[in-house]
Amino acid sequence: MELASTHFWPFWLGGIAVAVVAVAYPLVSGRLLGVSGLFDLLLEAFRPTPKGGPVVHSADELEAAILAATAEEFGEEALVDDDVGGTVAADALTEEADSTRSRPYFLLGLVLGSVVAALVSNVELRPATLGAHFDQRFGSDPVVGAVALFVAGWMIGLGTRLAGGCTSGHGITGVACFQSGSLLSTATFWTTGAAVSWAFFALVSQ
Amino acid sequence: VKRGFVHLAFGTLFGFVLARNGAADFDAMYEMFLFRDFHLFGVAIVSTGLTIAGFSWLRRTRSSSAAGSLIRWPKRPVHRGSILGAVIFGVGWGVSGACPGTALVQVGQGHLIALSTVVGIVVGTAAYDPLIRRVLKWPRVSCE
Repeated sequence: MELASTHFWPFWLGGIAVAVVAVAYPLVSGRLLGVSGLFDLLLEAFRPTPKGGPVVHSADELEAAILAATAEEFGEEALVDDDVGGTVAADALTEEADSTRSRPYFLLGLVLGSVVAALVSNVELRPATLGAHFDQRFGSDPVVGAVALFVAGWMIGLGTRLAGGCTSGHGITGVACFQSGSLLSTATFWTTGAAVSWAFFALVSQ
Repeated sequence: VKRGFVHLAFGTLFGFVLARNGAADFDAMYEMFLFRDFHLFGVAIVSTGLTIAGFSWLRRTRSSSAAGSLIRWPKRPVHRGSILGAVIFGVGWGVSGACPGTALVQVGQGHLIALSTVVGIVVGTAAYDPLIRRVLKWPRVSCE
């Protein structure tokens, strides 16, 4: 059987393209690339704000609150150096709130970009399956496949949160930063993914 | 809104790249895991090598992004969820041929059945908070 990858870019071009995106993203946005965390941010937007907690409406209000808390903790003398510290902290926190709202747009972009890719490369439209091996594994009934995908998706969502990252945040950026947690998690999910594939191979390919 | 546009643009670019790499292709992923095809290993090796070089250039020459904010370099030490989480994720990856990003790319490539994976990811992500707080009672890991 012809390998599926023959329909795509050569590996070296693909590798260069991924690296360009991974390096350009922090250069422009100040953040490192990571997709699974964005799903969490997306949910964050729908989570109710904790009841009874302090609520601030502006950077000035936040700054006043930070200064008051600082004075309470360290005494008034901690504020001698005018209010520069408070301003910086308030700016950082409002920027954080802003990026919490804007970063999940990346997810919408992933869909748009792949639609464009499908259009320019004339991908055959197959809505009810993911491919030949998928049909072999789950049969021709798309309901079976959809249920399996939901359970798998649930594990992907939960597992990436527990591990603190996914194939992009750990596998691409974390590994490239030599972070021990990323190296361990990446090695673990690759090994597990391969083991699952071999198990399916043993079950369905006979 | 302007910032949202930057993230939208990068997402679009990354989605296009992942799609043209076959990184979201179920069959290509399966053939990689079975060591029948080294295409995606090649992509991973080239991209990792170049990203290491690119990051070291960034660290040496830039401290802040084009938007003016400091570039945040993540610290990702080994923690209690590193192996458990990766095993759970790895099973999901092996079954569906998708990770969080490529599930969306599969949908964009016309495989509407992958919407099921996407919904699962959202529900699984939402399940994390109650699990970690009420069942495991671990400290929450932030994803910087």
